[in-house]
Amino acid sequence: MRLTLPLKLVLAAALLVLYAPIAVLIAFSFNSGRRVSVWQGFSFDWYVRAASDARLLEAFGNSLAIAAMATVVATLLGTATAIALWRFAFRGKPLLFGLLGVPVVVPEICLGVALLAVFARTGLMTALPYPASLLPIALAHVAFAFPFVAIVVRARLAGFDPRLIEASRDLGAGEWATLTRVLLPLLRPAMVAGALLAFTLSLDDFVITFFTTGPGTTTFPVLVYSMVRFSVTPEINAASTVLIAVTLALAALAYRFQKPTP
Amino acid sequence: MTLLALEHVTKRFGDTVAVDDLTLDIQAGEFFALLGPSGCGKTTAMRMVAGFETPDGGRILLDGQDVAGTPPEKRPVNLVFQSYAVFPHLSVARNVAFGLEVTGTPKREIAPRVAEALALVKLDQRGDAMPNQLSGGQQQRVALARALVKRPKLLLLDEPLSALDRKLRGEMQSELKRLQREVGIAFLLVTHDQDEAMSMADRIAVMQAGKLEQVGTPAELYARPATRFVAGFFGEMNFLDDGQAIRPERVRLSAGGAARITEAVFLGDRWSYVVDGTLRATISVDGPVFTVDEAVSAGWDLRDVLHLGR
Ligand SMILES: Nc1ncnc2c1ncn2[C@@H]1O[C@H](COP(=O)(O)OP(=O)(O)OP(=O)(O)O)[C@@H](O)[C@H]1O
Ligand SMILES: [Mg+2]
Repeated sequence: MRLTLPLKLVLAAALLVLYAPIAVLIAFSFNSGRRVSVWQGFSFDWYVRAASDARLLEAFGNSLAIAAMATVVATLLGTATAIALWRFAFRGKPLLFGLLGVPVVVPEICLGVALLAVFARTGLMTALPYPASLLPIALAHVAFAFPFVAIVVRARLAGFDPRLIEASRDLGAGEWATLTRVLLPLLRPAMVAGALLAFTLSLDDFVITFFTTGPGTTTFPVLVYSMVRFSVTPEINAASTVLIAVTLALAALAYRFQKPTP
Repeated sequence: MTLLALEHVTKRFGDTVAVDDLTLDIQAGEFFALLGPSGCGKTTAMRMVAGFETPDGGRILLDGQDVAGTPPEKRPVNLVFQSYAVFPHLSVARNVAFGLEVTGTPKREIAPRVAEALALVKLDQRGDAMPNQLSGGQQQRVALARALVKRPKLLLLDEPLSALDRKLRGEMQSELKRLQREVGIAFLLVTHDQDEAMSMADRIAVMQAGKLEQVGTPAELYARPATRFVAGFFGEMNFLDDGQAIRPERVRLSAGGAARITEAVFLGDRWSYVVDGTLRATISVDGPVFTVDEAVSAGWDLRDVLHLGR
């Protein structure tokens, strides 16, 4: 289909709506003045300010640590779930498959409240001192992120030729060698895609984190929220720009990592 | 020496009996074909030998040992799948090396054996290629090399040539035959193509609906078919009354008589006639020649009449 003028306009409008706010945010992170709407000259001041804001740095580090932990666990758990659903016949399999979709479709706020209830009841939210207090948050993130991984991996498995597994066994590979040498390498693109999804879902999660964070612990989105309640400062712009850069770099990495496998 | 023996092996899937009381033996170094129409249980029989299906009854013996309970990876047999099942994420050479790597073969031993196997299937130039860069016939040969490099006692081939075009299939048939002579491994070839079985196998087992019909050399099956099914499966056959039959080339025609030639087809070295619309007769060009509507009488030697069961 040819791109006619009206279509071009729609496309331009869509791109504008999608990217203009981000572009403005990035641009004003380099603004030398305090105002977020008037350009006053180029500078790295706000990056320096952000980098020396201990609270912001801590929250940023917390977010990365939580996302890293949640991603690793969610990827392993999601992949294992997908493989189990594909490989074995067992009672309640359709039920388990259905349940997998629940965290994906249930409104996040409900999941947040539910997790809050569990965490408050078990004392998980307040029992642990600071660095350890990130663990329950990561656990909450695993709970909502791993079904996404499982769904992505399962989609890849749907097109998988089971004869490849049999060929591997026939050539002398046991269950473990077949898993590590045939199944996992072929699932790698799906696992990378799932991991990236889990990472970004965790990194920018606000609702569930807000509900499961105890006093004295904060993550980047939660901190930004509390900061903007007073005012939007270019310092937040700078920190957000760094976050965007990190996510884009990861996406690029994942894309390159994924490419060579057919 | 008997390498593989199936003793009264039966396999059911729900209500279908895929393999029904099958008894067979395959000798070491033999080229054996399992022949039968689609759905007769050939693949199922082969998968039981490889260890991917468990028999519901009977025993499978390899070198005299019952293999029940031995997983596929521990059986000294290898399978070439109909769909090839070449690993798409590994190069040709790594595909061939796979079976040696996973069984802990010393590194310095792997490279020469892979090279040797690739040379055997004439793929020594393509070791670094990825499977998606290969044609169907080449992928087929990767699957073959991958199995041969393991030096199994028995190689199982499930309709290995059915996905290839006619010309390539002919080439691969003679290549397979050459390979089998060179490596001296017993081959069990599954096929539904009687010409393929005839031209390649030392012995053929004919199956129908899960049951064994007859086992024998191609010449035996042709000359002395035991059942009507086998008789009709190889070459042309005139079925007479009371389970008797006669090959068209054994029918003799002479001029004059109550019968009439209804069809005459010239085939270069012989004529093919149809007498009275049913009886087929083929006669060498050196013999008498008849024309359509000519009156003839047909006869044969009683020794040439076949007596078939069922
Ligand atoms: N896993 C299975 N589940 C149920 N039925 C099966 C299964 N495998 C085979 N069958 C049935 O068993 C019978 C024999 O199948 P099999 O695949 O052994 O035939 P085949 O001789 O190899 O046929 P083809 O020449 O078409 O490959 C068929 O009726 C088939 O439908
Ligand atoms: Mg088959």
